[in-house]
Amino acid sequence: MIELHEVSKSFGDVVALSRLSMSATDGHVTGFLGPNGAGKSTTLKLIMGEIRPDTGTVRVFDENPINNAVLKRRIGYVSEHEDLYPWMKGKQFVTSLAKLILPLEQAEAAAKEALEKVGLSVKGKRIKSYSKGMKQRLKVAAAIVHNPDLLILDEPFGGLDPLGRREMKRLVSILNNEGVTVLISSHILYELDEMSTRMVLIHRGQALAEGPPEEVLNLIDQFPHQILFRAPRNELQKLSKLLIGEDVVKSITFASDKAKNDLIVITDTPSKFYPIVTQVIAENGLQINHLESQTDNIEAIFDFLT
Amino acid sequence: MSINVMETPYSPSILTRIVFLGQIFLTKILYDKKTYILIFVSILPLLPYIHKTTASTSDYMDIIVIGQETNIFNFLILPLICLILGISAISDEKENKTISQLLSRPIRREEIVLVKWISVLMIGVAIACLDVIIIYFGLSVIVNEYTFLFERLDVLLGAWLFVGLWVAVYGTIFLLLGVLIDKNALGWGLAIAYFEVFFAQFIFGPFAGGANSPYSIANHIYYVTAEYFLVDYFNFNIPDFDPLNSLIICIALVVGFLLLSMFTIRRKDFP
Repeated sequence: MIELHEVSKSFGDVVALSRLSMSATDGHVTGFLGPNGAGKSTTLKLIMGEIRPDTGTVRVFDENPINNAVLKRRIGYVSEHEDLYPWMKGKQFVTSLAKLILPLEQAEAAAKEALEKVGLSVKGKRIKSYSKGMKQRLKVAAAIVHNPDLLILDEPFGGLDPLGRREMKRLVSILNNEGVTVLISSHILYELDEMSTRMVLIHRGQALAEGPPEEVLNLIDQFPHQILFRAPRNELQKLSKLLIGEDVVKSITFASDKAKNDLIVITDTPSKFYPIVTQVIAENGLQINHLESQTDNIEAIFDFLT
Repeated sequence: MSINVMETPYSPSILTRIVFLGQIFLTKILYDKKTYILIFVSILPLLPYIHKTTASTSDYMDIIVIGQETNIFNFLILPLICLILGISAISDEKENKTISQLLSRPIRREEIVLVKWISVLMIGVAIACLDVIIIYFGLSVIVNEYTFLFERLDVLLGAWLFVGLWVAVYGTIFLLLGVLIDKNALGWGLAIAYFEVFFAQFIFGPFAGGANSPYSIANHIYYVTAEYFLVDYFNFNIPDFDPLNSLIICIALVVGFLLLSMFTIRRKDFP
């Protein structure tokens, strides 16, 4: 379905991709994992035909994606950017884009269904007043409105709270069960493991590993993992009490600067930790504003793997 | 979803795509504050007339086409309309990353440029014509005595054709600039606009024996206007040059720059 062979791409002096080869196969959810700046977004833009490779070949459904309008009918794409028209209302946005791809009599109904599917029912509000999570859902609705065969999601969890992340994962699973092939990128290691049936690791513009997620995660689990939580102090205190007894938690530390409201958790087994922490937050209704794998640590993992 | 994926995916006709893409672009311009600022600034050329008591056709010509004393409209407002609308047509999409939404749809890149060009022309001409009307009727409000208003609507029609040609030519040039340049396109456009409007005549004028230079695009627009649009009200000529050739040059510039924009966007990366 997607084949990149020996693809290189530079922007001026910056080498974004260096002889990258990877694939995404029919019917799978392929997790595309790498730290910030690894070349994930560049790869997805090559697949979408927004940029051209300097060398190598990119094939999607066995076609060249550059300026290929016919091919785009089969693809839905959610970029990492807030690429929305803020003056529009949500339904107007999805319908306007649907009219470019669907028969006119179907466009409105398809937009309504897509919005329902992503759980977005905001009437009369302009996009500029949407929260980050709502905007993210809207982008997904616009990408699936035409029932694509292939859905490409670039960092779809960015800015979402834990519940929003869970909803996004659920949506991806539903779409995949309906036969949509998904390629999803993230720099958060364990956002992808639950839903991915294949995984590609990328670092410094090169693919490090590709295969079943268990094998990739086994590699990663050999390295201690640090996760940062940001929330009101009392919420963090509740979270730390709930996590302290878990076997998967190696240490819990509050930020020394009280004004910062940061909690850092270290775990040896992140593949087990993430499902547990998501469940704890959801069951106890905790208000966690921000959760992230510490970038330095992720880079260290990738350095460790290379 | 109940709407099933079709075996052969449906494709809207090019006309349908142009109409609905145009709808998106036009609403964008209508919601943009810049559009209303460009209308509002049209009162500026009227300010020097506040202390005057009379106005005539020649005063109106001075303001709209090529006045000796008050040429804010010609040298400031018209270039600004073309510059802001033309350059921001594509560069705004690049800066806001919404170009990604468009490129991920089954639309060819050339269609994006074509529809942007149509939108720029429609809104640009509408704003410029509105500005011309504001100045036309504004004169009657601020002076006690006027000799032409309501009686000579052919003046207004000629002025519309003049600003329409101006927007078509410069709007298309700046559209290309917006496609070509990724950063600070507006700054480059400003430099080119004012080079062309202010300096082309002064630099190339001496080569034309001190007369109106055929190397200035603005001069060709003035010449066409004097010969075809405002025949009785405005005098301008380029020596040894046929006005029809000036018109052909204007049309060739529009077609040429539009085709160049389409060719450029085909080759362009959108990182």
